[in-house]
Amino acid sequence: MKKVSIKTEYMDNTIKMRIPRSNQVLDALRKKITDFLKTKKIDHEITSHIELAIYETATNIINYTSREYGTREINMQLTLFGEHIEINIEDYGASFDLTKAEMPDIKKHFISGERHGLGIYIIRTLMDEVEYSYRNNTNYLKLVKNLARNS
Amino acid sequence: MKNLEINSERHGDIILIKLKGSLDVITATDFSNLLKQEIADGSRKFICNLEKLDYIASVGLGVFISTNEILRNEGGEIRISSINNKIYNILNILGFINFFVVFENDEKAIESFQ
Repeated sequence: MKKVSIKTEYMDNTIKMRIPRSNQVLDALRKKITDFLKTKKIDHEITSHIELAIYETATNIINYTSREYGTREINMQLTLFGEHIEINIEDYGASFDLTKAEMPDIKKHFISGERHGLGIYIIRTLMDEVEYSYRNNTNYLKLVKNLARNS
Repeated sequence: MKNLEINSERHGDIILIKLKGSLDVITATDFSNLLKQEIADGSRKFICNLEKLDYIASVGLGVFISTNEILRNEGGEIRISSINNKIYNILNILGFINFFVVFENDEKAIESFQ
């Protein structure tokens, strides 16, 4: 299997990444995010929420679009502001608005034993804001996590 | 590179599985396959020790959910022991913790099946 890696750039309170559409890089993605947030002394719980939301977002993009857009990288930028963290994700491809996707009924999900479909629920539950737009064949997703603990 | 260690041991008719590392897109299949094999061999009672699990993705949760559905229909279940704070907090904030039977250690989890 061809080895792939994430191209990363660091600037002050920002980490920018170009992510190949491959499950191989997901572990590295998690580590880059958590290491970066650790250097910025972000609360462990908030870090774990961001780690999971980003992982689920990248997993969805990779697993649903790699066949068609496999050579196109996903652009991701995480910026630390005073009171919140903003994550912007751009991926070229067919439109998928996860803010409009149906949220599963968790109780029914567990009772029915449904294995899939939790990623969107996780992203929208863990993040404080989720915004989506689509232009020039590119999905633009913005995730915001407030740094106050009880958000 | 796979980042999940799975250790299993038998306590009578109970299978105790200890997970260490990350239950994610790459590793969830191994976990799922282990459970399927044990179920095919007749096991219905499982305890998963999550003390050293440092990450769980939706795909990993999916394995728990779908396997538990199968087991509950046959009088069995996966019960959880020694869940660490990180995993507990995630499952709690997502509202998932209430769907699992959780014990503070392996001994109490084993007793619960007897």
